[in-house]
Amino acid sequence: MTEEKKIAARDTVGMILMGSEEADVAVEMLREERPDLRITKTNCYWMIEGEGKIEVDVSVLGERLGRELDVPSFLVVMSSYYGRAQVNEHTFGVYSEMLQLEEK
Amino acid sequence: MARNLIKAHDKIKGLEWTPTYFQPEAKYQTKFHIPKKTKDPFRHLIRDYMAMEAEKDDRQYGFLDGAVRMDNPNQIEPRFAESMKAAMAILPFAEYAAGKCQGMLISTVDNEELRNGYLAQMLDEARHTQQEMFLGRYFMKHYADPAGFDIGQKAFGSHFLAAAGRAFFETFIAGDPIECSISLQVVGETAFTNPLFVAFPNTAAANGDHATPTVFLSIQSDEARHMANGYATLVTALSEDRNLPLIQEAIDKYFWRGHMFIDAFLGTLTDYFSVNRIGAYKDMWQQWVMDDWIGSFIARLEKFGLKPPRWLPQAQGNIPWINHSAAMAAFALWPISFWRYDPMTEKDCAWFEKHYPGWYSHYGKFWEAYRLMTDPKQGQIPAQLFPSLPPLCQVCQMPCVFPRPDISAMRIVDRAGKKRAFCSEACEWMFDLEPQRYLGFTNWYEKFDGQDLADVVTELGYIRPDGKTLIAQPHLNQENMWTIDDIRRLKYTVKDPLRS
Repeated sequence: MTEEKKIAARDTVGMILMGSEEADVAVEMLREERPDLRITKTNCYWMIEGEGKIEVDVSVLGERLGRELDVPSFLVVMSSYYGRAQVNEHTFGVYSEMLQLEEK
Repeated sequence: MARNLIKAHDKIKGLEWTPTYFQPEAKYQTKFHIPKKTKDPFRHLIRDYMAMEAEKDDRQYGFLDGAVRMDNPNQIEPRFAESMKAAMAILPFAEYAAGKCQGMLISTVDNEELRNGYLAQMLDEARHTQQEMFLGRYFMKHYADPAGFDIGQKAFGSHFLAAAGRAFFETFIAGDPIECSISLQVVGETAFTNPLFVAFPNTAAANGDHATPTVFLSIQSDEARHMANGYATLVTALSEDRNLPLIQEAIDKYFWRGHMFIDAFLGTLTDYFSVNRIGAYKDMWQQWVMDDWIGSFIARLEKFGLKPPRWLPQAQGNIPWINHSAAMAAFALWPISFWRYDPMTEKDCAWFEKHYPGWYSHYGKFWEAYRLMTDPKQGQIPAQLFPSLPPLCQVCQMPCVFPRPDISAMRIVDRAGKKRAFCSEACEWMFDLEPQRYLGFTNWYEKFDGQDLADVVTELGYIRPDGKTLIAQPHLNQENMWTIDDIRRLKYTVKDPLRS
């Protein structure tokens, strides 16, 4: 009865942005920076998927929005992700690397 | 000059001190060996955190205020709105348990970065409890049929199937704190909150409900940090080889427990309470659980010694059927609920057959019969179609009907001097690991064995303010509503299937 569909480890990561002004502009920015990303809009959120990593430079996003934006303010609309998340000074990223475990 | 986040975070860490005048005692015992060194990927700072959460609340409550002006609660498909009576009853306990788990972790894990993350999560869980209680209140005040929203917190504790939800959520607070973290943060929040708080809102919006996506996506923005708390806790534990078998056993146990309750519950809400379906639950599970959680996370841990959950193949075997079997059990016993059920129409049945090939041959006849029993004048409920009620599993407390009643993995065995049912090999294995953990459970049947169904419904309090009309109904019509007198005329006696 049990049919095992084994899934190999993959490098795909994803970020889900709640429908919002920030998300619309982030999507516009990511489409320019990373044409390889797969971006879909649902009834209430944006799904952004890609290989290896997805990074959002929040200070650049703020410039496009016309106001200052820091990482915690961006996280208001960053609903979810899969992969390993990391907050830095001006960026929020999701990485396929097993952070801390694979760090040299 | 703008503050530098990384420097500020490093400075805050340096403020922790170990008092010399006080020797803290461990409040919670753990089998795990937790080294002090680890990192918080979100670099929580409480000042930033509070501002961020205030902004989230402003946006969410502002929307809900506007939604009332737009009369959004009455633009929702009633079939879908009824599902929120169950969801809003069950979820606040999960949040409460998750918050309590953070207290256990703060007391157990000696690492200032992680403790900061756990503290933020504890505040998040209190916020989520309030958000969900508020969403339930929003529906109760503004949706056309509020009956059921008002008693959710009380009724949740005594409901036939909600007990299984409580049993799973109690794994966040019962036992070793690191096991609780694995159940909550590594399994519950990382594998299952995306289907619940991301995919389900998409279904809600398709059915006209824009309040639930607003609240749930806001909740999920906190869950994102909780996943990182779980990851940081996991990698800390993984850095000690001695922990590996303990971590593996915890993932094996709690993935199965999460699967049994959440996939049955959420799969039923998604597929059976939608009018406008955006996809089949089994496909959502493949995406969020198999591809994203297993493929992008758990499978990548294999080189560090962790294997995918032991019972994953059985879960994969369950997924095409689990919510259909759960839905049949729930709809068959509709009078003991605190929401209304909308019968599956011929159009619904065609959708199921298209998305779950073979569905009709296993469930189609039930729904044909169900549609004929919605009028109280017919004097029959669907539970009467079956020779007996399904036993409840001693571990997960779900009815033993999975993956399908005709190929159920149920086993009835003698344990501790009594006949006990297990839904699966996995639950029997878990019982034998820690029998004392499950022996005290008195199930719903044992409580009500031998009682007339009308007396059971009365005792549960699932009756509307007129004192006679049931909260639950097998249809959504305002006419032909069932009363307690209709139930009494059935002469249906609840029987514990393990005694009969």
